[in-house]
Amino acid sequence: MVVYKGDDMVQSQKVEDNMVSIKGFNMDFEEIDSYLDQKVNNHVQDKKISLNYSLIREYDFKLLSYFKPFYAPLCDMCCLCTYGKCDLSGNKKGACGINLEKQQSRMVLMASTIGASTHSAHARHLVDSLLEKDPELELKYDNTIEVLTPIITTLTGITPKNAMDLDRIMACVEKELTNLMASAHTGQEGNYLEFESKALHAGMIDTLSLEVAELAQINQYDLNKGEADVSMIEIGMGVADRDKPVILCIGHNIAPSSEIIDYAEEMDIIDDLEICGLCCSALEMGRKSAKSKIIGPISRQLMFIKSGIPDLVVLDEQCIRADIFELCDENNIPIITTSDKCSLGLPDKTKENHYKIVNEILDGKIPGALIRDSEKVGKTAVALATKIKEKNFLQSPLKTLSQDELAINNAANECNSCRACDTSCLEVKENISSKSFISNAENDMLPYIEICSLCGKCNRSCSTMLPIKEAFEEAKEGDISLMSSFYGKCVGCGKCIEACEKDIPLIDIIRMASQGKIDSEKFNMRTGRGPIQDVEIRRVGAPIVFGDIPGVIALAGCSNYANGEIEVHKIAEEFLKRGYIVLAAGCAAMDISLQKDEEGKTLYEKYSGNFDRGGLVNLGPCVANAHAIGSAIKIANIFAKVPLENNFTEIADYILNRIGVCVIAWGAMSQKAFAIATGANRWGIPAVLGPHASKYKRLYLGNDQELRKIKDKRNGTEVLCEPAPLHLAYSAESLNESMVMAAKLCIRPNDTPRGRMIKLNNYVDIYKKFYGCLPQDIHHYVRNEKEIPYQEKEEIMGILSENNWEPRESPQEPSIL
Amino acid sequence: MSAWNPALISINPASVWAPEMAALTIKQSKNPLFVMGSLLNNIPEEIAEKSLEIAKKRNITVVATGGSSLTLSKLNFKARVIGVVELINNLKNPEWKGFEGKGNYDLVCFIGVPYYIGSQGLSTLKNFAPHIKTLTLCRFMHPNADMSYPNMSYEEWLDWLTKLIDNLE
Repeated sequence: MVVYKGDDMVQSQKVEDNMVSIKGFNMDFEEIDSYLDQKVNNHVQDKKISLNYSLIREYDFKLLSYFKPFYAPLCDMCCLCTYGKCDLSGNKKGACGINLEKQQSRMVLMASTIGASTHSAHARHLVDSLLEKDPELELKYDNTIEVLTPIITTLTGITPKNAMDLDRIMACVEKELTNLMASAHTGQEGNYLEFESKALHAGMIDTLSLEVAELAQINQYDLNKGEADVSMIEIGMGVADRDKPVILCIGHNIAPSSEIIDYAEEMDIIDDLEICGLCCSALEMGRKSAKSKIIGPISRQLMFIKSGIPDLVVLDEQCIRADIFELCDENNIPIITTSDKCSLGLPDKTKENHYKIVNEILDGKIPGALIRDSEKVGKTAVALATKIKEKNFLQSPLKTLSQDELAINNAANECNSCRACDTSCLEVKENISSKSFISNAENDMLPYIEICSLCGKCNRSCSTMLPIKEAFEEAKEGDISLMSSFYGKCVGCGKCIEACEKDIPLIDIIRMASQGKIDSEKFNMRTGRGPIQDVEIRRVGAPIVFGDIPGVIALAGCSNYANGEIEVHKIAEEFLKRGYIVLAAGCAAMDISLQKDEEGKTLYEKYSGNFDRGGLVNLGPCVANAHAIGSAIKIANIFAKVPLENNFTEIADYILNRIGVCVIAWGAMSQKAFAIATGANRWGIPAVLGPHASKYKRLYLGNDQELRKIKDKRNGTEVLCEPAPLHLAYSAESLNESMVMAAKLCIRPNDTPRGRMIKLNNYVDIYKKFYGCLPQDIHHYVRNEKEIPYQEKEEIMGILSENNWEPRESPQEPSIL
Repeated sequence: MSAWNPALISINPASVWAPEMAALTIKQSKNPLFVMGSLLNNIPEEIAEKSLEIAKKRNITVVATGGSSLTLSKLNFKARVIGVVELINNLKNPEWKGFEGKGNYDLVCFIGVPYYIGSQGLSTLKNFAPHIKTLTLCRFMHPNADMSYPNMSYEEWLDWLTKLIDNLE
């Protein structure tokens, strides 16, 4: 009998069920399967995992020749070495020879690398955890998803099969990040474009790490694997039942919160607890269990902790306030930290029995504990929160009040504002209703309103320029409506509290003025679905590439909005109504759910979760931004058959010129958000950032003055075409500008005439709505008369005529390569 | 005088300019530009009216950014429309031909651009556009400008804008 085994034809004596004999030629399928598995695994294991930076660097320089860095220094000095401080204002050189322009690009590299390192460290933790639990677990998503890892496969040439493969990918990532950070050292790189290329590289590595993290956690914790029809979950400051022990998880890493949920389920007490999350941990928990609750985005952190509602705070990593220990201490809330990256000076109790840890905290011997064992975190958190509630370890909402101020309050009300009234207040318990509680909350504000000197320092420090002083003026006259209106606009940074000369806890005041809103704040949002299915890509690939679907808007980033979270909701709604596909991840995914229509529905309840026209897709937490970029890569691969393996430049070039996708990071605050946006840029995806993002110091701007010279790969000629996308990274001044810019940045040279007409129709309509006139640059984007939006044809023809417009051919295969 | 937001500082902060000085600066400019930002949509219309009065008195080119064209249209004024970042990028280039094709501007006045992004734009011009002088007529002091109004109450601001108009005669 002959079977094919490896590279040799060998004889085998085995004849069993797996054997097939055809005309004397016997095949052993078991051995064939084994050989193929081995071949695939060898393919992965033998392949050196590396990122060809030198090749991609060339692409960066081409990209940056179209989208030139624009610098807006936040500081005119350099304070990084002992030569300094050096005054670089006016683009002067410092002692090491660096000028202000280079210094900005260097800072940009640092920010991008910090962001990428943070996501990479997150991914590393998840990979290590998987390696420990089940190193050979087969990594997969929904059965319909064959292109498992578009980012990893494009960059490294492999598709990881298990945690061991992910481990090797992370080793490559870590090496690259070390090199990038080294480039920022004094006396290394000396060219701003080189710094920018490296910043782009860090951004791209960030996207790679995001994909690793998602793959590892979705498989390890059995989270949603790409199904569009996922469950709804409650979100809002009012979702937590205060009668139950409230555990608040803050951060991004699912490991500890997952173990808390598992343990509570195992003990059959999940319904007796409120396991809540803030920031991306909340989104992770929502994917794990619909019984968890989402308090809200990062902007709610300070306000919710100061409310005194949580009985216990569990921290993992990222987006945690640096003063969280003091805040919890002020409110008698114990803390469990779970990561080396955020330990807060707490004693390491990883090796101690969890009952002992609970008792030490309950006895007040320690304010909390560092527990670097997720399983033990689960047991400790559940036991501790339950015991705290049992023993009535309840907090006052106004722990920052002085004794004198408390006395004023007590005199004004019988209630001492302990907020324990619903369960424990002995004197006046019988008479207290939620309505009177609101009234008491307002009364709690009075001493502060009286002592405010109206100095205005709060206004001067406010990140979003809220008129806090004016709100106090009105409150002194008995009207707290302006103060109450700050809820949802305040980004929760707390700078006003630090600036206040009277130590007024302004966040508490806003919370108290909004108590009614907060108590009833409950919304529904769809849980994060994870990746986009291949079949969805097949369905929408052509309409997106040709322009029939006017664009894909990917909402990402934090909550540092100029005018509150309502803006990101408005952006989502505007584009959904127009048939764009709207993707969301991270805090943005939460924020767009914080409004209801007249029928009481959120956008998630009004629009489907399909990756299709008018679909609103919650991808998941920040790391799920990988799926937004992955979907663009998959369109290039599945629809256009562009090979993935080690083919970054062709894929990125395809996305840049043919896929009308635009990131909007409206409240981008952190270095992670910057890395995500920069990573998207390198993949050819433009990003519109909020006005605060101008403080990232660098944007990538195209030339809006003339047509753009690119290549038509079909015939190798140079062609003049519209500057599309016009910019790669742009900071919009206002909501109005963000709408207009995003619609414009979805235009691509590859649009068919019909697709271009649809896109221009939206651009013109949005422009009229938010600017009140017609776009004066329309002549750049109209290639022939068929593309002119019908409704405005006459006026647009006038603009074309003024600009000596002439029809032109569109390139068949547009490229910058 | 310090910046409105204490976090935003400058090594060489702007000179605080009284309305008379601001008027003189505008009058001396050969090719000024007036940038009117998106806050004009959110504050009392009288500020937009005053701003347009200033522009009209000296025939200054008006640029609407961030959607302020909505308010200016209501006042029957057709401004040039461009993103403030795009504008700053063009201004940075000494060879830019300007909106009228006459060349780049020598003085750029600002009003109504949100403070934080306005401050960043002014930083770009301060550090990379030595050919341009900047004057902010906003309610809050901008250290990154060359010349700036100080921090004021709304009433004082209105008064200073009125005085500026009076001094443009």
